[in-house]
Amino acid sequence: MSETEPVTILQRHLRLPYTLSPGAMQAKFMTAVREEGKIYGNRCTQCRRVIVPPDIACALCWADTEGWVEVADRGVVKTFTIMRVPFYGQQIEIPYCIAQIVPDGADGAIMHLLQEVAAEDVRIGMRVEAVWGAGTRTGSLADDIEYFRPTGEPDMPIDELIARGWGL
Amino acid sequence: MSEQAESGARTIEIEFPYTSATGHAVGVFLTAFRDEKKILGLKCPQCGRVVVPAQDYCELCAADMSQWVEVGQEGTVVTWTVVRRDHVLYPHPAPFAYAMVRLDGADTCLLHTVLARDYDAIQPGARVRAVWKDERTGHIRDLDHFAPIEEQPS
Repeated sequence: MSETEPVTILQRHLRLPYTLSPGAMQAKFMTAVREEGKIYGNRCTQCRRVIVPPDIACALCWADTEGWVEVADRGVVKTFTIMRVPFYGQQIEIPYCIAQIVPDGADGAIMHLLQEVAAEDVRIGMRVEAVWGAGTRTGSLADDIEYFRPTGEPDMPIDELIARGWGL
Repeated sequence: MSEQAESGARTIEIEFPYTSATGHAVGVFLTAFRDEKKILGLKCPQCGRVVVPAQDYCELCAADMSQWVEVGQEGTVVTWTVVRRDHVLYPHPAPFAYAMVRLDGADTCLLHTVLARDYDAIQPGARVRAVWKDERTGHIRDLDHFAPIEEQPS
């Protein structure tokens, strides 16, 4: 026997590589992000909300959607969470903030990282803007927008946020 | 934009890095792999079977097992399947075979791999011998594969 310690631990590294089709609507959205650097939504035929990312049906009304509506790459923090726990593969320095952001002109929200702001200073209603990456765009907002950052504009008042139905 | 460009197929890779305890029997079994290139089994005090790979209890009798037995480096292919397509999770590039190998002196089969020149020539009862890695870490794949004995240079 060698003088090394007995084996007591198993290391197993399982990997699940997926290739996914995003479907026709998401593909059109992603193609616009990649080719135009623009964010689009569509509109519910019943409640008239502008849904971002676009979907084939409204998640609230179950009604069909229509149209193709350009929205801004800046907007309002609808809600957020702060990551304080380290985990395997973490790329971002903790604590950091992941927010749901309602782009101007939209009612639906996209989820993204907030930076250039201390996590504890993030507020619901805060105005933020996208910082696009300099590299080749892929069509995925998660990849092509590096993060969102505060614009310094006045917050959207909570009452207005609730009146727009974003408290859901 | 081409149709292909609009398909937007994405590749996502999810990883699960696990660290778990081997338990006693498997720990001893893998330590012998790493340090001695030996394959150990445990003999059941009740049914007398030699169980490889080692486990703490006999799965037939539920009896505690503590009598260690070294089994052979050679054994017999009981059943097998040939893998002809590559996959990232597979231990070898295709083609290779997964095989249940009953080692000499053992009463159970070890699930492992067989690398052969001719997979059509594998027969039930084919004799194989363990081929070890030079750098061993205390893992089932310290035993790199089994090779048909008749194919090895003598």
